Amino acid sequence: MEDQVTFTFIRGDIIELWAPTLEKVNLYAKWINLPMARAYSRVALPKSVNLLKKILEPKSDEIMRTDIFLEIYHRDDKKSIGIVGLNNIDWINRKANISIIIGESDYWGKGLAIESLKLLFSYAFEDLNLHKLNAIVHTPNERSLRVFEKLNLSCEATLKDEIYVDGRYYDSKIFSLYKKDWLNRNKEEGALNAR
Amino acid sequence: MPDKNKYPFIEGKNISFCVPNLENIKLYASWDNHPEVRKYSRNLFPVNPEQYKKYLEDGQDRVPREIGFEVWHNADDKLIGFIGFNHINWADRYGNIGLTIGEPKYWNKNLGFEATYMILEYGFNELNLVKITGNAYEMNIGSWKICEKIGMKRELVLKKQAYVKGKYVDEYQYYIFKVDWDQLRIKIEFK
Amino acid sequence: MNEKKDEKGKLVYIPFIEGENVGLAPTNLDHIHLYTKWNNNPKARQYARNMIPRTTEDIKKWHEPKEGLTRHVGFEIWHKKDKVPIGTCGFGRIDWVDRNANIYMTIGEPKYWNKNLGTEASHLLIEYGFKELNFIKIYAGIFEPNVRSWSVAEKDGFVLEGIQKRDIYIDGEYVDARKYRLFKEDWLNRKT
Repeated sequence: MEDQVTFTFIRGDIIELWAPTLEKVNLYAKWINLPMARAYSRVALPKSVNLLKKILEPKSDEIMRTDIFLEIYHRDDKKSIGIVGLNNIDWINRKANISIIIGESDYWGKGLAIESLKLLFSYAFEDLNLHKLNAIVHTPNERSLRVFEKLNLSCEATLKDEIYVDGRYYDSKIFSLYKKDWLNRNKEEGALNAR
Repeated sequence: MPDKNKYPFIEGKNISFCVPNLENIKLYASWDNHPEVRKYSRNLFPVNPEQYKKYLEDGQDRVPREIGFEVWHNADDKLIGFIGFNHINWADRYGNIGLTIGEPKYWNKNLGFEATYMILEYGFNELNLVKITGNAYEMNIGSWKICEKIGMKRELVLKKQAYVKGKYVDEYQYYIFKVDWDQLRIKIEFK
Repeated sequence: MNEKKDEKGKLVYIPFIEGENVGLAPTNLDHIHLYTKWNNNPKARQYARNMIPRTTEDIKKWHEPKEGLTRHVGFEIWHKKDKVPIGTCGFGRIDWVDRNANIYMTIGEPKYWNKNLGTEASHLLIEYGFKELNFIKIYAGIFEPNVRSWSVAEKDGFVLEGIQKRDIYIDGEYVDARKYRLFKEDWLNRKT
């Protein structure tokens, strides 16, 4: 029997990051529009199916992409559980914003966001040669705040009253990670693992 | 399993070159996304099958700057890769080779070497090219070893030409002229 | 907009990058006829063939503004005193990930040759490439017979990375192409 063709792009231990496909656009839109995501994440990913389709449309080689997102796939359970990606990629200043949504709630709290982001960071710094990554987290979103703190991103700024949710204003925090720090971190971890 | 349609254009001993086929765009996409394969073809962005559709539909009427083929394994009747010229300059009569064996099971079986032989034959004898080039990054040892084994010469070392896995690496460019190939080809045989 | 017209309707130049005798301004599709003339001028195009597209459609396409970041950034070279555009220059084949690009330059009007204006324009362009576009490497392909061009490149610190033999067919014979490179740290460390 012929193997199903898969679009694995990055391989991790528990997670794989796959190239997104037009066939699954409705699934991606469902995750992005989840009430939890809408209220507290306000991710930079477009919420409409049509805008998502536009990102996946064939483009001329001449124009540099400003958005790249990948499907998060749980290898053992053989299930797609969310999306992670880079938005507003600025190739001259070499920075981008991070977005992540674990859309299937059964998979929350298992460290999968952290693994997905680590794979994304390697891709951004080791393949795309970016200098800096930013994540904008709105303060009600404690789960996200914890994820970025666990990943040792530093909070570079707090924007006051940045979003209006549930009848009041909340602050947003900007977390940042630099290529230099990421590569050093991996070198140290690599050395530790080698012993 | 339904037979895949294939349209052979050049037949070799162990492999054949077939015309690119819209039916196979899912496979092309899986190769260009595959973590191990794309390391060597240096594909940096996730791609979906629709992007090949555009490529195949676009290039039909003009004089091509690119000519590509599917690589099929004869005995296994399996589509295993893609090869072609990715930069043909007709006035100056040279072209640059690109080759991807997309199925890792088929690596290290001398098939890359055989494919390179066939594409050189095609380029010199059918496209009437005078010079054919190929390039590879320094860590892509399999690729540039094929160039050397087949008799191409290293023309350029472009230092720190590409950023791969966190550091800048050199790119090697190889070349061969038709007059040289005419001498070399008679010494090569395939079992 | 980088352009104004004076009372007589003549184009006044407002530069993007200012030099002493020349300035670099964004390319202007109104000047397509000039670019085409320069591109086809037998003396000018003789050694430029590999670097600049050849047909009017190519030239238009090459310079047409596109939505988003492309692999090409082009300029017009203006003669400040005479207030006329005299050539084009820019970066092609830009690789934003590898942070390198091919540099091209043509002074299209023969009366402005041999006045070091090309050298001045290329210095402006190289500074821009390293300091603003964030390149780490700039490369150039110059044909062997074009001695003036590659002597200037070598004086500027370009290093010969290799020679592509019989690369292009000019006037009935093949000529070699000299491939030069310039790293950012070498440019910034050079003795002025």
